[in-house]
Amino acid sequence: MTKASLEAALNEILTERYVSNDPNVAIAYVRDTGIFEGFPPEEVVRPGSAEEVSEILKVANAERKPVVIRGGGSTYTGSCVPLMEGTILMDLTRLDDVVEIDEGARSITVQAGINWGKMMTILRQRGYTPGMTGPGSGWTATVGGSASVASTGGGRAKFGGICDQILGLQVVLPTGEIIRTGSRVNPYAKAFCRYGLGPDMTGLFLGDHGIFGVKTEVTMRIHPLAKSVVHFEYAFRSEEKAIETFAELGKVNELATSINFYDADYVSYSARRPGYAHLSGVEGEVLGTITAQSEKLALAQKEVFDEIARKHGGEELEPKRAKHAYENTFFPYNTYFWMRRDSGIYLCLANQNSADSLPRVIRGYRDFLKAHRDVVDKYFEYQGITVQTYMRHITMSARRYLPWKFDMDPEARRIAMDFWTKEIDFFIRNGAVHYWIGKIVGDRLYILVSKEYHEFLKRVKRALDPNGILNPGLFLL
Amino acid sequence: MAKLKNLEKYKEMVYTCLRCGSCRDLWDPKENVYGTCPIREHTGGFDVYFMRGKLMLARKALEGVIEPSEDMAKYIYLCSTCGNCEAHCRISQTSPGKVDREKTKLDQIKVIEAFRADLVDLGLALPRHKAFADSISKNHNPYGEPHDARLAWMPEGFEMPEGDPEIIYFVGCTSAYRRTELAKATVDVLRKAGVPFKIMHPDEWCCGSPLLRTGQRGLAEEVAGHNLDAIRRSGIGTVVTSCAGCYRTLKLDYKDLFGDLGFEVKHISEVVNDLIGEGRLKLKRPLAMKATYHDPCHLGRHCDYYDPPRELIAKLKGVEFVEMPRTRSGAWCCGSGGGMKSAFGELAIEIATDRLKEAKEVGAEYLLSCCPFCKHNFLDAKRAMGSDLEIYDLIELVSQAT
Ligand SMILES: Cc1cc2nc3c(=O)[nH]c(=O)nc-3n(C[C@H](O)[C@H](O)[C@H](O)COP(=O)(O)OP(=O)(O)OC[C@H]3O[C@@H](n4cnc5c(N)ncnc54)[C@H](O)[C@@H]3O)c2cc1C
Ligand code: SF4
Ligand code: SF4
Repeated sequence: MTKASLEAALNEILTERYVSNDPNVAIAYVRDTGIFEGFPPEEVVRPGSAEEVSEILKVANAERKPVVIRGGGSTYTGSCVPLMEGTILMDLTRLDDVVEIDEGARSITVQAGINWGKMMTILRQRGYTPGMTGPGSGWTATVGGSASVASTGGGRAKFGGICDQILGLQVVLPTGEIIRTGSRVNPYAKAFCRYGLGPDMTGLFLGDHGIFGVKTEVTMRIHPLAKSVVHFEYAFRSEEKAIETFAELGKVNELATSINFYDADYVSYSARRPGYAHLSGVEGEVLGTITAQSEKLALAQKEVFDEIARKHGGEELEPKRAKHAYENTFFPYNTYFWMRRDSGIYLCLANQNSADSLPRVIRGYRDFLKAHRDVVDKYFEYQGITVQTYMRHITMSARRYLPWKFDMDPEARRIAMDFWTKEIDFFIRNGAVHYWIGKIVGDRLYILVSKEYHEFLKRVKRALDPNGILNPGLFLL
Repeated sequence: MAKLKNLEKYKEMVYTCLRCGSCRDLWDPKENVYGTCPIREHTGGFDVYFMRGKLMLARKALEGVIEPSEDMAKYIYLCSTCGNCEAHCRISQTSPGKVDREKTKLDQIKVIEAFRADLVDLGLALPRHKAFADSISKNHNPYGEPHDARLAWMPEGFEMPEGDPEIIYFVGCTSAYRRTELAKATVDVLRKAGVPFKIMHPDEWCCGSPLLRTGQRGLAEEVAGHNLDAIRRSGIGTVVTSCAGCYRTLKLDYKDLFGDLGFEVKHISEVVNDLIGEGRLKLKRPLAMKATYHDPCHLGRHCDYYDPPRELIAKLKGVEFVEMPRTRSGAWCCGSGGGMKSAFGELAIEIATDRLKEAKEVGAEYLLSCCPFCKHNFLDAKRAMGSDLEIYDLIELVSQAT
C-alpha cells in the first residue's frame, strides 16, 4: 500500500478531519514530557470509537504498519512516542466521555481517553471519588494511559494504585477484535466486579503499556466522598524515628488516604524556605490525611497514629503541608515517599519498594549522588544539594526547572540521559519496581529479567499480536 | 536559525514548555475551566491545534528540523490568542495575567506573535491578514472603509458637555464602522454624566491590535506611534476605550513598544462605575432581564480585568445576573480574536456558538460583553444558530438605564 492509499483507507474509517500525514502535525508527537526523542509518525489518527480503533488496527495489520498508542502523552520515559519510522500514531483523546456512573454497582465506566480532571469533576458533582484520585499529571493524563502504566496517585495509602481500583475494561485487541473483561464478560451482568470469570484477564492489560491491546473503556470502583477529613503532621529530631513511625503507620492504616515521609535533607531544604523556620533542627517528618464517613471514625484513626508518633518522639505540627497536598487535586509536588496500601512505598522517582527498604535506599541514594558529584554539582547544584531536591528535580518536578536547559545544550542532554540511566540501574539493583517503564526504564529492566519470563512475555505478545504492530520496541520486544 | 529571528528571542520560553498538555483539555472547577483550547475543540484536535503542539512546532522550526511553510503558517495562525492555555498553564502561572508579565515565565501569546512576525517576514502572512493590513495602511482601519467616515455614527446634533475635555474617547475601528451602537451608547453615557471628552478624529487610527496579533509588526508600530503622538499632543491624561482589543493594545502593547505612556488607559466600564459612585451618572430606568457576562479575552485574561463589568452589572436595577460555568480566567473565547475572524471566519462563528449555548444553559436571556468584536461574532453566531438570545454590550444597557 502506498502512502496515499494508506491515507485513503484511514480517511474512509475516520473522515479527513481526524487523519493527518502533514509533517507539521507529526512533528508534535516525537516527545512525551521527557527528554527522550522518537521519530515523527507517518500518519496521525484520532479515532472516536472502539469500532474505529478496530478498523484502524485491521488496516495496520494488513499493511504491517506499527501503531503507537498515545493517551495524554504525559509519561516521560518514551512510552508513547514512535520508536521507529513509518508508524501510525493513534491519539486516543477523542474518547473522552463518561459512559456510565452506576451508583448501584458502585462503578464508573469512562472512555479511555478521558483525563482525570474531567472524570473527577463529573464524579465529584455526583458525590463520588474513584479512591485513587489520579497521578500528579491528572489534569492531562488519561485514565486509559494511567491504566496502561499502572499509575499511582492521591488516595494510594487507602485505595492503592489505579490497577487496584479497576473492575474491567473494554479492549480492542491488536488484531481488531473488541472484548470486555471483568463482570461484563457476562452479558447480563453489571460492571461491578473484576474476578470470578476465570483468569484475571483485566490484569493482563494493566501496566501493559498498550502492547497487548488498545483500552477503549475503563471501569473503576467509586466511593462516596468523605464526610470528614483530618490531616496529621509529625516532626522528629531523628530521621530513623521518623522512618519507624512511617512504617508503623502503614501497618495500622485503615483510613488514611496518604501517609508521606520527608527525609532529613528535604526537611532542611524546607526549613530554609519562608514560613518553615520552625522545621530547623527537624530530621524527618511524617504527614498525611485521613478521610472517613464520620468525624468519629477519622479521629479514632488519628488517635492510633498520634500514639505511635508520640512513642517515637514525634512532635505534632499544624498540618499545613498535608492540607495543601490534599487540597491540590493532582499536584502534591512536595511529597516524596508515599505509603502504599500494601507493604510497599512509592518513591517519587516513579518506582516503588518494600517499606522496610527505605533506610537502605536513602543511604544508598545519598552515596550514589556523592559518587556522581561532578554531574550533580554541575547541573543540579543551584537548587541546593539535598537528596530530596535531587530526587524532585531529576524526576517529575524537574520538568519545571531542568529539561529545557538540557534540551538547549545537547551535551547536557547526553549527560542527563546517561545520569538518568545510571540512576534507574541503581534503583533496580536496590529492589525497586517501577510503576511506569516506557523505553527508558524498560531497556534497563528487561536486561535483568529472567530469560524465561521474557520468553513468556514474547509468547503472549505473539499470540495476541502476531504481526507485532502495537507499540513495538517496548520491553525489548 | 536566523530565519526566525523574532522567535529566537523567546527560545528559552519555547523550551520551558513541559508538554504536560493542560492546554489541551483542562477541567478544573477551582479555575472555572472546563476545556482549554477552542481551536482544538473545533478542528481535528491534533496536538498542533493547541499550544503544546504549536510550541513543539516552534521548537522544531528553531532547530531547523522543519522548514517554515504555508502549512506551518496555517497552524500557527489557527489560534485566537485567547490566552486560556496560558492562564491555566502550570508553567506560566506564576502570574495569571499579562499585567505582571515580567513575572510570567512562559508567555504563550508572546511566542505565537513572535512566530507570526517571522512568518510575515518570510512572506507567509495569510492573504486575509495582508488584505486588512493594506486597508489599515490606506484607510487607517481594517474594514476597507474611508477614513473620513470614521465618525459617521456620531448622532446628529450631539451636544458635548461643556468644559475642557477630561478624557479621550478612543472609539476603535469596530465600534466606528461595524458596531456603531457601542460608540453611540458610549458617547450618550458620557454626555449624560456631563463628561466633556475628545475624539481624536482625524488623528485616531486603528490602534494596531489586528496587526500585532497577526505578526504584522512594522505597520503596527507605525500606527501605534501615530496614535501615541496624537494622544500625547492632546495633553489629556486619560484614554477611555469601549473595545477590549483597543484597551489591551493601548495599555500593554504601547507600553511594550514605547515604554512609559504618560497617560492612563481605562475601559468604559471602569469609568462608568466611578461616575455612578461620584453621583455624576444616575441610573434612572430599571431593566428587566436575566443576563450573563462573557469576559472578552483581551480584557479578562490579558489584562486581569474581571470585576469592574460585574460590579457595574450589579448596579443595574432589574438585571438578574447569572454566571456561566466557564467564566473569568476560564472564559471560553468568542473565537474571533488573533486574526481568526478574518482568516477563518466560519470556524470563529462555530466557536461563538459554544458560548451562546452555554449562556442559554444557565437560563440567560441576554449575553453581555464589553467588546464590539465579541458582540460582532456573537451576532453572527446567533444568526447562524437561529438563537433567540439577546446579544448586548454592557455600555448599551447603561445607556438604556440612564
Ligand atoms: C508533572 C507530572 C506528574 C506525574 N505524576 C505522576 C504520578 O503521580 N503518578 C504516576 O503514576 N505517574 C505520574 N506521571 C507520569 C504520567 O503522567 C502518568 O503515568 C499518566 O498516568 C500517563 O497517562 P497518559 O494518558 O499521559 O499516558 P501516555 O503517556 O499517553 O501513555 C503511556 C503508555 O500507555 C499507553 N497507552 C496510553 N493510552 C492507552 C490506551 N487507552 N490503551 C492502551 N495503551 C495506552 C501508551 O502507548 C504508553 O505506552 C507524571 C507526569 C508528569 C509530567
Ligand atoms: S504550554 Fe503549558 S500547559 Fe501547555 S504543554 Fe506546555 S507547559 Fe503544559
Ligand atoms: S491561545 Fe487560545 S486558541 Fe490559542 S492555543 Fe491557547 S487556548 Fe488555543
